[in-house]
Amino acid sequence: MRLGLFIPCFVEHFRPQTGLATARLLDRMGVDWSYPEKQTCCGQPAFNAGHPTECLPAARHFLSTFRDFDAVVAPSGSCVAMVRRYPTLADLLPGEASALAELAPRVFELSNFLVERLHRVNFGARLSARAAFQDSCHALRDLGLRDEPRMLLAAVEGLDLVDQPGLDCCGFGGVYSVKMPEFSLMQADARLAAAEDAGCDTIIGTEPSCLMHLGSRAEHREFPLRVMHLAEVLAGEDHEG
Amino acid sequence: MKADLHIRLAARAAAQDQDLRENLERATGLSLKKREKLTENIPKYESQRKQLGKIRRESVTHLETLLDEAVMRLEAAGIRCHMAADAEEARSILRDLCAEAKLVVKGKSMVSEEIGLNAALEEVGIEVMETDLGEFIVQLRDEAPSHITAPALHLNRRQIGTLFEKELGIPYSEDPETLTAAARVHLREKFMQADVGITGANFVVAETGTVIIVENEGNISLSSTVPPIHIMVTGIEKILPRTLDLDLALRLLPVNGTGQRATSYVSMITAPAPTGLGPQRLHVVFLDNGRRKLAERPDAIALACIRCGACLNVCPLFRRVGGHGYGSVYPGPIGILTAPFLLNEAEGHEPGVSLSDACSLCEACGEICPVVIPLPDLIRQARSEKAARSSWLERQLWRGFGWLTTRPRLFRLMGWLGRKIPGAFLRGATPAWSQGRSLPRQSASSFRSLLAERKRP
Repeated sequence: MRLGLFIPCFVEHFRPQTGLATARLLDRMGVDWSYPEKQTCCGQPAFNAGHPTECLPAARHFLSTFRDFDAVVAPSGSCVAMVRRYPTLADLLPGEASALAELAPRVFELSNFLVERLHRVNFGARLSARAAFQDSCHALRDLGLRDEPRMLLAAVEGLDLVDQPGLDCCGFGGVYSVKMPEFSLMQADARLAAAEDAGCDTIIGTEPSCLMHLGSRAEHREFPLRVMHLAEVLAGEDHEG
Repeated sequence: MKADLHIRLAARAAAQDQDLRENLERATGLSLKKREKLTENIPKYESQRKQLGKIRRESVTHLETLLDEAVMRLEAAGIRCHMAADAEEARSILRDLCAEAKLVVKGKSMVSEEIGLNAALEEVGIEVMETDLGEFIVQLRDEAPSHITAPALHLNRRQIGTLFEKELGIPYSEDPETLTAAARVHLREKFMQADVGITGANFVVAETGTVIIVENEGNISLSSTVPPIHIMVTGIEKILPRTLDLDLALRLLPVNGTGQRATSYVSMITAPAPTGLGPQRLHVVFLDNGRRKLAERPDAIALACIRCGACLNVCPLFRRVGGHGYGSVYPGPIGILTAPFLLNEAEGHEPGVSLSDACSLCEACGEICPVVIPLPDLIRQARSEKAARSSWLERQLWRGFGWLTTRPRLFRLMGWLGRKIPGAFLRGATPAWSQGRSLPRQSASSFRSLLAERKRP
């Protein structure tokens, strides 16, 4: 199996360690993977801002970048959810409908890929922390990934995990975070408070954009909480690393 | 935009109003918890939900035929039907029907809020008394309902105690039973004196011409039986094809609305009662007010809504400001979609798709909706209608974004700039982000270069 690694554009520049951790996990599993250099963005910002036609070039580019891979993995449920949605844009992309429909189900969020395709939950990771696991909306609701990250985290040694299901959205939502900042900040604060009230020093999630939002809010408020991506936990990559 | 600013200001006020925040969180949270307990134990809940969604879809698709059928049967049974094209016509029909009334008692009805009925009747000297406890409370406060099924969910028992002490002249109490009893004493008299009872309707069954009204307090039963005239005001979309459809509708509405297995009472109204046993004159006012326009659009499915309010309870924004923040009778995700069609500028509402930005697309509403309305997709569509009318510059920026995604080198260069531009400058350029958040740490190297540096095992 030839696997393509898709790294969200903001991870590329603002949180590369999430990408490196993902690469380490794939290596450890002996997966034949590569990182196509021409990759850019899934197009979700335009799609969710109400400019679906401006998302089409991104969809076409993604298709040309990854169509020859047997599977594609990304450490982001939100970007994967966007790619899985490409077939609904088929009306706007005549001629590529079947290629999009073929590609979409081959694109996986990381935890989904590890559990469902590699059938492995224990990566021998250790982390001594009391950490809250908080769901991300798109991984949870678009991709239905409730159990996968929890199964993976349960196998991490030394981790005192507090499961926090049922929380409101963290308030990121792309342009939402700047169009409705009052709500966005209140939502982020509610999540930070949930982790703090449970005595946690870390928030673990599967979606880098949510984590970036929560981390930025925590830092602004000088909140003693760090955020970690699931991949970083599993690969034993430290946040500061 | 006006509505955007309104809800943002409401959020700022809510951030300072601890009572409001706690009340909203408690009330919506309790509803959701009770709901979840029930749905977990209903075998095949998911398939029930899909089935009810199918029924409601059918109702919306065949709206006109079903409506004609319902009207024909209602009229045949002696219930007068009136068609109101808009809010103004509805008000004038209702004013005519109440022409000889001095006192009107009302059951909870969002459509009556939509048309501004209370004010219209009061203008011509008719006293209007809300009899649903929540509606009674907001009426005493001269407020609009904050939620479509729980009008007073933004208040706690202390606030209601103070209100009743002041308005009803009873000793202060925060005991719910004492407060309810005080309201009951006050209202009982009004029921006896009322000339007209006005209620909404939850469903109208086309097959038999039956109006269904659900409630918990008994006030609907009184409003619909004690006064000599009973008027039901409802949107044309409340139609259901068959009596059998009530099986699911009457099960899923209370589960999702109030977290109850069933409501305490269900009224099924088919004809005026035999002489002496109830109102001799029954009317149904069917309101269009933008519904037919919505029915012609690609998002017509929003009309399938059964007004349970679950999407409000689960919405992170609604949970933080409540209904008043939306500046519209219909708040929450479903309100974002329907309010622009049901409410018009003359009523003080901004037309168009103005509140579609008040959503982070978390999709919780789409997951909970008992009739499977794809609310997040529809909100995204509403956003694109709004985007089509956005400024030239904004459209060009998005076009530029689309173009960039096909130019890997340039796209990378933008990322490089994002990492290299001094943080202070970046912060200054993004005030909406930076006023409450630090910038994400700018990595010295990109993932791509770190990957190249590292050796594969």
